[in-house]
Amino acid sequence: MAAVPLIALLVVGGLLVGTSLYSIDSAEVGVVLRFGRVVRQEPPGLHLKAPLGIEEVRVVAVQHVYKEEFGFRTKQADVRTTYDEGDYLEESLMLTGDLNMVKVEWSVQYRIKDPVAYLFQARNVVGNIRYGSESVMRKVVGDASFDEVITKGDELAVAVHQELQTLVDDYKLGIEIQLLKMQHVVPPPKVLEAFNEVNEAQQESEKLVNQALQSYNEVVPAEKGRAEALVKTSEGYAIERVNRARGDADRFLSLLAEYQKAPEVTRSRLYLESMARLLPQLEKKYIVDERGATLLPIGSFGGGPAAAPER
Amino acid sequence: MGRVIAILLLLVAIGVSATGAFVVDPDEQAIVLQFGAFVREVKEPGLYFKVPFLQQLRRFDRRIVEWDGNPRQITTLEKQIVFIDTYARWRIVEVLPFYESVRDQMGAQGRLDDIIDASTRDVVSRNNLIEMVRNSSRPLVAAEAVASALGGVVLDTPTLGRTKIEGLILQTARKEVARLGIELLDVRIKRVNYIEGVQAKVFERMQAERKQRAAMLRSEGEARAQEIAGEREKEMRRIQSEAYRKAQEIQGRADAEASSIYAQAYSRDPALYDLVKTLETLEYGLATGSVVVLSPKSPLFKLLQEPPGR
Repeated sequence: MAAVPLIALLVVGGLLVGTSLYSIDSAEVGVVLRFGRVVRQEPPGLHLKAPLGIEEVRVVAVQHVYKEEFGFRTKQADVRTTYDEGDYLEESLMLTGDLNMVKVEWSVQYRIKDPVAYLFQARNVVGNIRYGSESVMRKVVGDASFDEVITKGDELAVAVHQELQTLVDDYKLGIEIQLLKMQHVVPPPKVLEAFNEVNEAQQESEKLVNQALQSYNEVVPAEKGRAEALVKTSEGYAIERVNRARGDADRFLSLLAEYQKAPEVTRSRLYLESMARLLPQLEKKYIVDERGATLLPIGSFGGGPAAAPER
Repeated sequence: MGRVIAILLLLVAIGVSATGAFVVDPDEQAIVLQFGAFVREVKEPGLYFKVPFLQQLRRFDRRIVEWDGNPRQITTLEKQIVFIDTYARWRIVEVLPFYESVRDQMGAQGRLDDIIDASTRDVVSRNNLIEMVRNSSRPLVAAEAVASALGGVVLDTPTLGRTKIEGLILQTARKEVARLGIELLDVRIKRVNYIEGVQAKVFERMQAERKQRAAMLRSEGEARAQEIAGEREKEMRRIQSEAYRKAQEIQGRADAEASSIYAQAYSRDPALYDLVKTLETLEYGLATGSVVVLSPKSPLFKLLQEPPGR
């Protein structure tokens, strides 16, 4: 019965191999305990350990980024992330330093940096992180006024991140806070409408003022233009008037010079030239004695019967 | 034959002692009891042996354990009722007293509930709400609207602040807890909130204040818009009237200059001017097609009546 020892050997061999071969995935670390004491950490790959429970391996994902959410829950992370309908107000409503209330939603991302500490320091690492986060966030928010919280959310996030990391290091949790992100920092739901009303009022107010300014900026420059034009027109008039005057005056003075050389002749000439221009224009001319007895139509000069005037 | 029995006995002995072997992990500590009496404690991880069957092993957590209290209604110094939710971290430092007083973790949590709750109440009721909320004495702009909704709550700068309050609660609780073989590492305020009724009032006040602000913004905007419109009108009138004034001035000056030029020229011989102007007026004044009545005495007809050259 040589088969029995062979089978026994196979069984023992199998046991030995089964309890000593193990693999570590990438992004993981294996913490090896020998009789309860930590002896080494193994990187990814295939490894051997002492069989039959002499050595034990605990695997920790060290590259994985864990996430804790406060005040909200992601239902499905995708190209368009969907969120849980619940309001989680117990987590998100908190008091501000001026005893108002504000709603803060935030998330914490962390990864394990010290696997041994992570495994053996605290019983409930996630619980510690959650309690610590809420405590620190409320402490920081509680020291700022409502307006500060609403407007300086990012600065607050930095403060919370720093303090939380300090807390976590004090607790020796062996984790590193990678990101603390404010998801929403808003007035509580019941007063949100009133806050939006203020924003609307602000916008309306600005719109009214802008409209008034716009009207001003359209109308006033146009009027200035018109005013300029008016002034320019009168300047033009002025120049024309003076030039005309000068022209007329010069003409008169030239005539005067001529006149002074031969006054009588010039007088007659002027008179007759004028009449010569004037009389043809006239339709009908009546020559009537001043005693005004008869109206004898003459007609135009150079035509029609002429009648001897009564004497 | 004796050898086989001896080997068998040896194997059995080894086997039996093996059942007395135990491993303590890094997150554990343990005590060994013999018929309920304490024998020794094991604090470091490793491989140990106890007497099989006769001695028992009790394991405990060596790690830091968290305690989370239920939110409690507590009245502050200025008689404001609030919900305070605390949490704490503790660990077992002396295993035997722990085992003897509370037996296990569940028992410990129960005792901690009482102890920490009591010390929290003690500290909170001796302080104003602001001490539990704020953490520094940095000046803030306080909202009076809220204060009036909260009925006499004190909004002065805090003297202690949250961190110191937490420290006081820890101090008070620590003493009680030492008897249990427990070390209390910290107590922290997880949440502070108003009770329902107060919350509603605070919201009302916040809403009222916001509505007031909205109304104020609107009326400010309107007033400013009106002001600008008024400015616009004023400016318009100013521009128009100044332009008019200037135009008149320019024209006036030009008229005056023209007058002067005419006067200077025509006054050299007023009679000549009279003649020229009258003739011009006649020429242009009598429109084409008018009818005119002339006297025979007109100098035009002089030649009709008398031949020239006499």
